[in-house]
Amino acid sequence: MSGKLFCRRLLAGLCSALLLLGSGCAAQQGGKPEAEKGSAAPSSSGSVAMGRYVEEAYTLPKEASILADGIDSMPDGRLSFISCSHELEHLGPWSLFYSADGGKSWEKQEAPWLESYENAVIQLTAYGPDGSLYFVTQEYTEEFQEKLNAAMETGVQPAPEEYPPYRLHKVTPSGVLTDLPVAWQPEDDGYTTLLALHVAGNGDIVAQHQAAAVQYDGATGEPKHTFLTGFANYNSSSFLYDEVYAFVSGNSVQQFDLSNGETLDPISLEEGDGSALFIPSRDGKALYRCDGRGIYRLVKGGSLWERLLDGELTSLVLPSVRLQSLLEKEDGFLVLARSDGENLPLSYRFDETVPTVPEDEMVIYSLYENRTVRQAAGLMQRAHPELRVRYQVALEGESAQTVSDAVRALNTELLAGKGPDVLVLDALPIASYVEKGVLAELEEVLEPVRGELLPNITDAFRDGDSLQAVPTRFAVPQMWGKDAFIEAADSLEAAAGYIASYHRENPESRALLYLAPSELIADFYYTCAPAFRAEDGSIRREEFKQFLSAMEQIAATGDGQEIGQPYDASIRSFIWASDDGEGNQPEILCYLSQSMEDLAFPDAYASFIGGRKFALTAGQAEGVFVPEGILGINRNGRQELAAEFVQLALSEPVQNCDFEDGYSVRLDALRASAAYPYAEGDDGRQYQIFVNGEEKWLQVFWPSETFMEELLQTLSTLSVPSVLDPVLLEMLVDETREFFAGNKGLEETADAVIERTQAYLSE
Amino acid sequence: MKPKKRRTRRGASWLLFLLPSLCGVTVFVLLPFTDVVRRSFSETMSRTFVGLRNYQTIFSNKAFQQASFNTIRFVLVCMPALILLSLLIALILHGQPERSGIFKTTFLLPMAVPVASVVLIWQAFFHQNGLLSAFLVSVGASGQDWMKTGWAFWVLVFSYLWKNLGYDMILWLAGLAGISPSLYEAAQVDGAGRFRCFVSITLPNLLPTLYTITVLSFLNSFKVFREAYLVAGDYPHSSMYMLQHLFNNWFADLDMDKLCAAAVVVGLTIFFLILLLRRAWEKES
Repeated sequence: MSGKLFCRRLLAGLCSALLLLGSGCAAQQGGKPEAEKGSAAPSSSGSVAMGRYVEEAYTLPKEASILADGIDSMPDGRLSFISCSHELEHLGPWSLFYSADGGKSWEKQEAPWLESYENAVIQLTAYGPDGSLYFVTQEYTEEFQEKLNAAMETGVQPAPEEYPPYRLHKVTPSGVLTDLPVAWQPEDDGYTTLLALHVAGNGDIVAQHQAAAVQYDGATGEPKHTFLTGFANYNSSSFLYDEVYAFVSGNSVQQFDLSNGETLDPISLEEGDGSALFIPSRDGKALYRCDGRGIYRLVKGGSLWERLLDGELTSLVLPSVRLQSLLEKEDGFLVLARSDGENLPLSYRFDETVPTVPEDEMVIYSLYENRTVRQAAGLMQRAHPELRVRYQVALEGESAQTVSDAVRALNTELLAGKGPDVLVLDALPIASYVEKGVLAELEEVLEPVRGELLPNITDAFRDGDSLQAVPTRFAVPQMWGKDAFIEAADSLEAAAGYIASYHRENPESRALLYLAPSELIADFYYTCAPAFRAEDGSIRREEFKQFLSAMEQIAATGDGQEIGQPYDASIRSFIWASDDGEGNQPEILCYLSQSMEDLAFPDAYASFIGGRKFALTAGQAEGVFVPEGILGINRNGRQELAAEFVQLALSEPVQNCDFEDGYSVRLDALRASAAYPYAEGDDGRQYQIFVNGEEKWLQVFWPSETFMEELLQTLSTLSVPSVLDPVLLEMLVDETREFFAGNKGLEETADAVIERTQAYLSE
Repeated sequence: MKPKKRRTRRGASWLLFLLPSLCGVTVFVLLPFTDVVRRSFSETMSRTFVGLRNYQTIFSNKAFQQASFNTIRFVLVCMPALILLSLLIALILHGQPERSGIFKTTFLLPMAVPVASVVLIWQAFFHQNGLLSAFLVSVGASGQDWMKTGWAFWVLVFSYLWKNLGYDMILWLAGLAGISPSLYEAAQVDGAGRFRCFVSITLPNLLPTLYTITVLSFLNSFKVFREAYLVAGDYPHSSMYMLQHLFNNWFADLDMDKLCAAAVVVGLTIFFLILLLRRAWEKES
């Protein structure tokens, strides 16, 4: 028996050793060889799917810098547009161009009838079924221009009847010009706005106004039917097919019957923001849709949008590209886009000799969509048509996946020696990845562009000689408000003291927009966390107590109610926050400034009402900036390609684009973004605002050169990176709730916070 | 010759029955755990052998200390409470067989409730604006978010007891049903009272059941992480910050070396505890 027992134990021991040996042999050193990576697995039959639409960029004639209304498709298949080359948009002399080869080449046409419109704005064009060209003009007289100039100073818009009327004209193929009288329908406020023009098969005119589309009788110009489309703007998409008028609204296409004015069933889109382009197919059997994701087709009566062209393999995906027209050609499509202020016609032709999807792949990963990275990925794709550059966004749209889930999935890949080639490290555990050796060194990658970058920003994650992460953008915590506060608030204590004394003198007024504790902590986190967090991440007790005291002092001036709506430094946010229409205006706005555009509107507002200025948000730390779009290269990925991508993301073509997702880290791009953007004679932009409850029109140009120089100087001296830690922020808000409610003391709260954060920070 | 053949066939058949399960356990449990053991002695990405450094790190890590303390505290509080409570209820129901049906269903029902639903119930009860706070406010006291205070631990204990009471009660009832009534009759004849019968007959005969319940309750105590995670997320109140929270967060931070070392420590601890229990039970029997 003892012999049998011994044999059993020996067998068990041998099995254990075998298991250990087996797991040891499974370990590999380093990643797979480069050649193995990114190769698309061949199909089971061994062949690769072939054929896809290939992009070719065309050009327009040099004199055609400004198009009146994109490119139109004529009934005979040719393409046409009316253009001008005036420095200011939409003024003559105008020219007419045709293309008979799908947009590849253009010929200027004799159009003597255009000479009468040299001083007019041609805004909308459309072709009728007989080949006649319809177009809308509006002539600004000198007298009216003077009224507009006066309005810029007073903020009072001219009355509707003072505006020059829209006129509709028709030119037959033989060149006969006719004026068509149309009783344009005004909006509710009395002003008339025309956003799009279409000509129906029976000659009726369908015009899109701001709140509705109206069908006008082609013969009499009288309105026949009104279609309630909801709010529209110049970017809204609308089209005609058969006897239906279609208007794209959010994620559906509204349809209206032109014959009887009735509303038809809408066409559902999977998702959309109303900015996609739609056209009916030439054979009338389908609809095409074009947006950044590609070109899709919906067969009439069907419910499935079939993707014909993957936008990620083309320039359509670039955030800098704004789509204007979509046209179907004999051999594919022509998309008119606008990029960097230039017209960009893109032709798409089906090529059967090209693989449907490039076999080789490069992956860029980020938790959230980043437009700068998207732009760089698109340009990388353009530079490498043989490669599929896939920008993988883990948390997209209404994904049910949480941040933790996404990070765990990523870590699983990294641990297996795989993972994406480039990581966008925002909201990822950067310190951990650096410590674990996940990321490759970037020193050599940045060497060629070192002199062109802001060193104080790009070295945010430097650790001695090692640099493994580099931000491609940065934001600045900024405040804007009354001179007295800005001058007094040179520290957190001074800011809190000023707000408290202001509240005593003006108990009905609101010093800050956000006064609820949770929102206050979020606002001041960036400029205070570097002070109350030690290098190892732990909480510094005394500094934290100072922070809490200041927050308490400020919060006491409010009613503790959260506003809920975030302030993102956009113009819309500023208009909303600056005055609620009842004369209530906070003294100060605190926000993260991400673009020079963020400064233009507040600066114009300050000039308009006086006594306002900018400053960096008061806090316990000085010179704070927020790194964004932080890139790292996976050590186990394709480092050469990844390095090229990082260099591209830091290059001029990408950094010059302003996506309002952070200031550029390139010196030249930053300086260029600070330069006055308007041509001489350009009247900038106008916005409707409230001042002390009264409606005004604000003319917005650009901050002064002196201001911009000072700002550039300030940006170049920022030296303290502050990355938001959402977990820590949530803990601070949770643990200080009772403190702000007056149920806990300062010492007790500080203890509670340190205890609560101990586990997290010591992990 | 015949006896030899029978022994060989019997000897082979156990292996055939065992093989599928053994293969599954080997592939999905043993091999991965072996890899975990290997990783516990190496760095996360470079896989360089570092000896016992990871073990030294975790034992000096404050988060690990806190999580271990909370987990041990939870086990030491919950297990005796669950065992005693379930035994008490089982004894009561065993004595009232005709009325016990509805009660058995009632106590077993929590097991059928999905974890996500349990979490919703807890949030409705223990949130700052929940039922408990509303009740306290109505009687003049103040409410609070109970899951963000030290009470969170006791809410977790209550959740564990509520969920597992029925299951243990059923096991006790099965154990009680296995005790021969003749033993009680003989004891009564000898003049033994109810307490004496309980101590000298019931308890000794329930020891095998006690072993099973102890092991199962111990293992189930780790499952309470699901409720804790769904209610309070990655970083709950410090009183209910358990080892699984720590492991979860270490994985998110790519601290696989520490995670594996801690997993090995926890696994070995559980293994030896169960071995000890088994030894103790074997000695008793």
